[in-house]
Amino acid sequence: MHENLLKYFFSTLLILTWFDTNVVAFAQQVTPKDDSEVSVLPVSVVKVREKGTGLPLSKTEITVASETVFTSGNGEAQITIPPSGDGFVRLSRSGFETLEVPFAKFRPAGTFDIFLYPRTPDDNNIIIVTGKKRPQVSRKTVSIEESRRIAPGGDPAQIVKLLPGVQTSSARGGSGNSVVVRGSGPADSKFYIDNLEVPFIFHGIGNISVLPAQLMQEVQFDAGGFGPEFGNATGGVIVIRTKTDIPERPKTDFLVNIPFYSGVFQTRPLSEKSALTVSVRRSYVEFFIDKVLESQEEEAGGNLTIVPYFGDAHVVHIQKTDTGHTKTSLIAAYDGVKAAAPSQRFADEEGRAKIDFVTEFLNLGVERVGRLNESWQYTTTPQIYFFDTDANFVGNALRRRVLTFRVPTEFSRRLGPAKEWIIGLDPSYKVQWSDVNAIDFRPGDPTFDPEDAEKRKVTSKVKTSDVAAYTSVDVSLGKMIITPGARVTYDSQIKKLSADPRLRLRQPLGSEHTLKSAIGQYSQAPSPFQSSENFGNPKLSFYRAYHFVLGLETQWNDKWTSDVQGFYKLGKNMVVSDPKERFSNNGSMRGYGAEFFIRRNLTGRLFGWLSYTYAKSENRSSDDEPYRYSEYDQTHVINLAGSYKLTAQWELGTRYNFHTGDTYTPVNDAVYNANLDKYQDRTLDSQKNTSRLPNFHALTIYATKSFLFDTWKMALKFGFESYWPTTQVVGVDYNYDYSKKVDETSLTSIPFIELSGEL
Amino acid sequence: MKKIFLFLSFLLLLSCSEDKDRQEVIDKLRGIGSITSPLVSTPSLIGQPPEKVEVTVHLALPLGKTVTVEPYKDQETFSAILLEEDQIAVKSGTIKYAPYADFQVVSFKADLTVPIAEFFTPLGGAGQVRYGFLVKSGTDEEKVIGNFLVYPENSPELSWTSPQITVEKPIDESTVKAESEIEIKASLVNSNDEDLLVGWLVGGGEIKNRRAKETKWKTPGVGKNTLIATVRGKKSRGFGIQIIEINTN
Repeated sequence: MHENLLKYFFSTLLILTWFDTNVVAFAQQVTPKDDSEVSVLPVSVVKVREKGTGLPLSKTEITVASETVFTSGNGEAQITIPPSGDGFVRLSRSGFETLEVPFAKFRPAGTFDIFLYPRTPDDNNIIIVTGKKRPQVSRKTVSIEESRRIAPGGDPAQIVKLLPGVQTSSARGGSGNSVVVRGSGPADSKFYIDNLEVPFIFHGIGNISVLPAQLMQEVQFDAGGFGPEFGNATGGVIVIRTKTDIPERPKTDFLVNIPFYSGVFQTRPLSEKSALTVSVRRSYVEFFIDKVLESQEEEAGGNLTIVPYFGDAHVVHIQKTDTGHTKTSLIAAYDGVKAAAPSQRFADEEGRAKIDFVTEFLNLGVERVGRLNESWQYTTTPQIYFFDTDANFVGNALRRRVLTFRVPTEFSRRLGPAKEWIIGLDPSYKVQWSDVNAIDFRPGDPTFDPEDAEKRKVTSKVKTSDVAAYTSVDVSLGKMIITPGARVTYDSQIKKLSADPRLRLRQPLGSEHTLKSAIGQYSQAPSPFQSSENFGNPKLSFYRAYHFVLGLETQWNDKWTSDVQGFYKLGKNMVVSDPKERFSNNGSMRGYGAEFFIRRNLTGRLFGWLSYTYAKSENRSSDDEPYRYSEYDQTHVINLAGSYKLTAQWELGTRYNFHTGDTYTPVNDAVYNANLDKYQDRTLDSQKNTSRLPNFHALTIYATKSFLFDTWKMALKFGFESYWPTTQVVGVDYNYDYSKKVDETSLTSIPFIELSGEL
Repeated sequence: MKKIFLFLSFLLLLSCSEDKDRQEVIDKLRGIGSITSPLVSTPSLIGQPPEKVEVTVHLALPLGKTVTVEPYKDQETFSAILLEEDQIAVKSGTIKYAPYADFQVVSFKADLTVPIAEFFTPLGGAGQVRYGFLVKSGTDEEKVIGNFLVYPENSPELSWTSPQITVEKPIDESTVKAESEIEIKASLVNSNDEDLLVGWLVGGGEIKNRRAKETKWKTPGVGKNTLIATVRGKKSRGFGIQIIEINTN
């Protein structure tokens, strides 16, 4: 298998290299516009354009004998070719290959389209991709230009998974759309697209986010210590910022990824100040996987079916105004998996374990950015947000629909370079419908046995009004910038108020180093299920985490930067299962560690980074217990990613991921329950998460070849994902009586080919 | 991509591993079920001799082997009162072996002490009591646990009786085709109007759904085979069993 993968990769590389030579030779030709009208013209018109886009190239230097002219703004210039004799017309422009065309090609005179190839990138050309941002401590901002080079699947939002402080767990099974941040659970982090809150930004399969790359401007990630503008999160915050610029011309992109999905994207200017963008994507991997596994299960004599699927659609209209813009966004996405397998431990009436899970959301929002006066800017984003999750797992069913009206509004006043005062208000009104078919919890019933209790369907409708207000201000103390802030939140479902003070500071140490620190309280309301009257505990309170961060950021030179951070996180009032009250605030967690991030800044050729995270994540169900490793503890996480442009058309990239094996609770004892006719594991609290899976490795290698046509281009990307010579264990399972442990291993690496085009 | 494939592989392994190691096939010391007499008891009273409940436990065992039995205390559970080991008395001389074609069924009896009424006061005088046994056969061992119900005097639950199961297809001592899929079917008597839990056990072959009262049995090779049908009352903790032998050729 390993040899086959390498053969596949290098043979594809060889074929494309051969094809490349022929394409270049063919493409460097000049094209007379119209032979019939050029014979009498003494002067020729040359239209110089960029190969691959057809965009006119202004300021192109055209030399004919001793005469030099430059193209105008529309890429045109007039040249006079001697009526006889040999020679060359030389066309040169910064960033493009110089082209020499024989005089003979311009005879007879006429109008000629000439296309220049982009030059092989220069490694000394530093590309500046970020502007001034609010000073933060644990924030990493990655531009789309950078993240497209190395992100998993080429999807910029996936770059978050390579940043320090982030864990992607292989053993959590199924939820490929979540991340663990500094030891906090996936549900403890928040996701936004601009100011629109979304329940997830990653699709469960294919390393794809819910937004096409063409819409994104940058990806912003806070691992902790973030400002008061973000609430109801104790882990991290991921924000995808979308573009606000008006495209110069209509553009259509398509993408065919085998075996995962296809998509089409179109953007077009409607006027000088407005543009409309539409995109649609849909998976078809479900058909492939189903067929592959169908044959496998037939061989195994089983009856296994699995259907993962996803899709998304977007409509964005942007209207520039004199002081800002109005952006109307409609974002819809769904993500699901249907699976059924013969199972004895979880069997239903048909002897099969069935899983049917789908999450979908639709968010319609209008982002208005403008100025009140010279000093004050405002951003308000009224939005309607519908979220629907429907989960069926071996007889348990949960459907939750939430309709939210939210109007986050923020006023900011510029106080100086990288300094501002912000005031924000975030009111929301929610209507939640829940249909739950789960264990009918009847502790008062003497025949009640939670291990085999009956299911009961309960439907509820809850209306809540929540509001949060926040402020922060950057204050200078010499060169130090201190940013005190606070966020006050009222949650009407639990009828409680939280006030979270936060403080961060940045102290430059010379011209290269910046010392930074953050401390703050972060409150998170229990989930509606946890605080529900029927299945939870309405007396629950906020879960509170305290973040402490200390770091040193260094700009070594134009090409190299580093960031070293130590963090400590203490979580109190954590919601945990409770045998008497269903849920209680008796739990607590702590996470601590250090992160190292070395980044090779984007140049024309090379980009990449190395991130290393040392982290401990521990929790306990009550203060009477000692802290134990949590299910999210991965002590060492390493991500090495890099991309190198061999030529303007060839690019190679690689990623290597390592993490300490996930924790799990070993089952060393089991009993036969004669009432239930099944075996039940008997684990001790002292054994919770005391075992670990083997360390995890994954290597991804890919290459991209761009094909430039006169006015459009195409890219072929190929490679293989998550390869490692030895089998990777991603979980453990047990047989029916827990007498045998079975390692769950990852499937072998799957090669992919992706074809994309820009029209 | 990685995660979903890991998830898929989890399911794949779940299915594959269990295909090779199936619960319905008896190939070692295995619990079958237990039943108390009376099915539902009244609590003991302070100052009086404790009430006793007799439990009969059934296990399957490879032919030619014997077992030893001792009391066992399960781990704490909030839904039942745990019996201490000295409140469980295995009756000497009650271990009996009934040989069948593929294995033997071993059964034994024990007396269980019913806790006093005060233990059940928080639940209105009723509750569950958990008992347990450690059964050993050479290096094999099986921890069998179960609950019985306690209700106050005159409660209607005291008259609950065990459900019953009868195998309708195939008929006892009948002959079916070897290595083929045949229909197996049981009829149930539900005297307490409660949810019932069916369980099938065999010496060989493969049962499509061991929880269904009507399902398919992929029969093993030529020979005599043992088929066990069991039923449990989910509320009453009652238990019913029928064992038949089938010839395959």
